[in-house]
Amino acid sequence: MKLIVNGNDVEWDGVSLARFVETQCDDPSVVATLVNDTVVPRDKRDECALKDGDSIEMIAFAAGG
Amino acid sequence: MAKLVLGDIEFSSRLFMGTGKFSDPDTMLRAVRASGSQLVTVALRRFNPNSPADDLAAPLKQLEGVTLMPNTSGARTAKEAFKAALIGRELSGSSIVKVEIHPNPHHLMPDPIETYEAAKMLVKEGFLVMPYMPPDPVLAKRLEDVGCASVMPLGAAIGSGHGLASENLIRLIVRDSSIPVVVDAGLRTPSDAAAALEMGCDAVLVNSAVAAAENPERMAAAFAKAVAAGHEAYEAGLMPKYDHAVATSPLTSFLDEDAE
Repeated sequence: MKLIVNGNDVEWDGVSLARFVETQCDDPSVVATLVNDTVVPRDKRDECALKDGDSIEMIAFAAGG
Repeated sequence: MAKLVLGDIEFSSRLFMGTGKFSDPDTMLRAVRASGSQLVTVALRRFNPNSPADDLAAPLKQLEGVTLMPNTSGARTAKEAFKAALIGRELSGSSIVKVEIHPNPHHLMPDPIETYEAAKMLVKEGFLVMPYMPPDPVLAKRLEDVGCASVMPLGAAIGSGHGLASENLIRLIVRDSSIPVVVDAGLRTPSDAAAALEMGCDAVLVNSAVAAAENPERMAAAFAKAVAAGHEAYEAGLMPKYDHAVATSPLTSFLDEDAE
């Protein structure tokens, strides 16, 4: 299926958000995730089933004042 | 020395630090440690799987005894700030948030209307709201009334190094405020920070003054001393000011008397 990840098109053939995040970063705890503009907490990623066309945002800390 | 309390968090240091503009994460870590700060701001950005070196989470995990305060920088509206705060809370595990809404990149002045609206929404959502705000005593009172944990008036424009340009307005905020007042932005010298604490501000938030110093670690240590000295002086009570001299030595003409 096609996902939109941080604004870019990504093809992926999995199901859960948790699994997708694992493919993107070594330590999934360093990102917050939003699916279609709603925050999905870390402990809910397993049960979050992705669908074709879903928009996913992965956000991390950055330096700032 | 009295501790500073924000919501349910207690701070013995009244120096808050930003993590922006440092040359590298290691320099930032050394500066934060030298500052003794227990509240450190961080921003949010999209995660880039292709440059994990940008990841700030690993260095931040090395800071012990520090609460992370995500900011909402980048938000232009209350709605965007609300969303950023939810993301920040998911990352930090803490409900403390710095509301920062500045739509104009030239002056980075906080939008008072959107800041106020965001504060109302976030307080209702259970956040400890720390709004970066213009030095406006009326707005400060309104933000206090909606339940903010503190107000954070700017001393001068972000990163400008103009110090306490808004000193007289901040004095008015301090006089009327029942919640902690934190001077955020514009400070350049440790004496700026000391002056803020001496006039009764509860803390200062410093970033550029340390990050852009030739030696950030030593500058952070200098700010820590200045903040502690300023608060100690405030608690000790400054002497009054007079428009005339007030002698510190007896004015009797004893030399003339001896000569007689």
